[in-house]
Amino acid sequence: MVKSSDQPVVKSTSGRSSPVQQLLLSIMIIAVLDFLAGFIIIKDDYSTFRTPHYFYHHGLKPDQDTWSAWGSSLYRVKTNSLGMMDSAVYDVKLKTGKQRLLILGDSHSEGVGVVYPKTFSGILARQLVDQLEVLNASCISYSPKIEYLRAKFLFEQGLKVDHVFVLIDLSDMQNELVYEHFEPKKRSWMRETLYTGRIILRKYSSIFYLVTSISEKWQTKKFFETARFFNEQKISGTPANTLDLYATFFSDFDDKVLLSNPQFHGVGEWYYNERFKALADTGIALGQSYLLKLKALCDSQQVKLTISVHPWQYQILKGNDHDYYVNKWETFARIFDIEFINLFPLFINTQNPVITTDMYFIQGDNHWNQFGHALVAGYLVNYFSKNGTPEIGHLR
Amino acid sequence: MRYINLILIMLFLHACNSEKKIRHQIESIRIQDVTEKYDLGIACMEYISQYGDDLAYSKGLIRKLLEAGFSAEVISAAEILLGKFPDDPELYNLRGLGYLNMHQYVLAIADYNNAIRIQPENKQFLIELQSVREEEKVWNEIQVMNGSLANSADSFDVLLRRAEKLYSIREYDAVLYDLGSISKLGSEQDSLYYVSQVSTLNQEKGRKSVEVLSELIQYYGKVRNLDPKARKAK
Repeated sequence: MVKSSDQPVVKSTSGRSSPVQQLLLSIMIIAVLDFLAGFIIIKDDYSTFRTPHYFYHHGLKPDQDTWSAWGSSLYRVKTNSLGMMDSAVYDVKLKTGKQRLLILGDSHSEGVGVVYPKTFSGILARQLVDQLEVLNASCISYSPKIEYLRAKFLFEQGLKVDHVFVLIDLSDMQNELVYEHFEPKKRSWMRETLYTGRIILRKYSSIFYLVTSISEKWQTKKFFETARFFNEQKISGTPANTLDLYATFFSDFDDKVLLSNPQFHGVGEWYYNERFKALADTGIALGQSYLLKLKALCDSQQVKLTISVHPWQYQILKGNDHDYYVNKWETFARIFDIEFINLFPLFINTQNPVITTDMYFIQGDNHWNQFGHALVAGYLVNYFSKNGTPEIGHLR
Repeated sequence: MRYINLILIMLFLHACNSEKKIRHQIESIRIQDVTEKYDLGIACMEYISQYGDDLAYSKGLIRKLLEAGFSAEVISAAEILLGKFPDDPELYNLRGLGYLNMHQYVLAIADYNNAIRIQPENKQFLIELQSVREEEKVWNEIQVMNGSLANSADSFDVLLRRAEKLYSIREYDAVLYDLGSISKLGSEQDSLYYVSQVSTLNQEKGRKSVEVLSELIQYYGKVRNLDPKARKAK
């Protein structure tokens, strides 16, 4: 093809884009490439539905439908619009005509390793559907301080509930020490936007994903370097996904002496050990101080509060259904007029303890399997349908 | 545009290879420690939950989960596959085995019955169902003993009978626990005998636990006939 010589070659300046336009175009191209690369690079590591939080330390992302792993279990996870484990992804109405029960607790009540409909809260929600609505704001490694902040956040959002049920876990003793210096940041429009933006970028942007992954891996590495004794003794029997998750919750805790002590990581045995009993007492006292704050918060909203305790495998093998720990919480609940449920006798009875742990616990783990959840649900359905919740409209 | 095309092609290839990748990962895991056992469990569950259309291969993975002792995972894996293949008798059979390992006899028997309903000529299923029913009978007897433990004046006898029953259903860790409790109810000599026998389990080239447990049961069986006071004083 030959160019016509009649057409003069004119250098057009109007077609050339300005530096600002070029910059915007470059950003757009980078963003498109970044997001496309994200489809390949970003792997679902089974904990991507979890997120740090500026006010309540960490939680679950809202509106998730994904898979999670715990030990060798792979199970479907769905969260509602408030970032709570649920049977479906849906918008939770802040006010409802039905009675509402809000469950708070850690990994036990979140139901790690078990699909939500088979957890005690899923069973409660199904079996008590005519009487009340169940919301479960539990999340792994929560303890009374974070549970109080979570409830405060939800109440400030405008969520109305009639009853708060907190499942106190043995690990709370350790978590309270770990979160002692965590300070919630003030809520603001800007912070909420940044929080949402972070969730979106973590899911789609390859650059953001790589940077945050490297930072998280570095934190985990640092944790295991400090907690090396624990690492050597217990790592061979603990699944990697569980250990990595455990490491992430120590970001605000840098007591290297405690971290490097293997007994510090065996919190279930603290109060049997004279050296660690004082630490157990400190953890329990911290937890109780936040429980009192939660009680005051509930009272201000005219919401009923119930707490419960449950054993780990070690307590079951010890065979005391009313031990030091149970007494501590029972006494506290009695003094401050809080409803108290002791779930120890559900697991500690005349059944052979080895059979009990085999039947109701995930293999090699302190969390309930689906039959453990069913056992707890059976008890709680009875409890809440008999005397658990006030009359509809009575407290509103 | 060229880069975008390249990325799209890579995306397509990535999606095509995922199933093969998981299969390769499963085949390459050699269980040498507990961590690898968990890796295998996750990989098997990943394959079944994300793919699982190759029924024969998936059932092989459930058997791997059974061998690794992941009974709860066997139940959920079989449930996922039953959603796709509701008429496969072997899936009911495998889930039944998962339930059986977790002492959920009613559910296990229901699954065996489902398997037999679909494949009535399968003699293996019938034999297994019979065996589950027998085990359930022993289990129910153990539950009665549990009930009587709370009121029994002589827990030695109840615990020993329970240990015998648990031994017959191969619950050896539970037997060891009960024998430990029994040893504390007898004389000092009985307690020492228990400690010496159990220590042989932990030694290098130690005896098989079933042999030790069997001997301990026989030993305490001889003590059983004594009056509780005489037993303590022996």
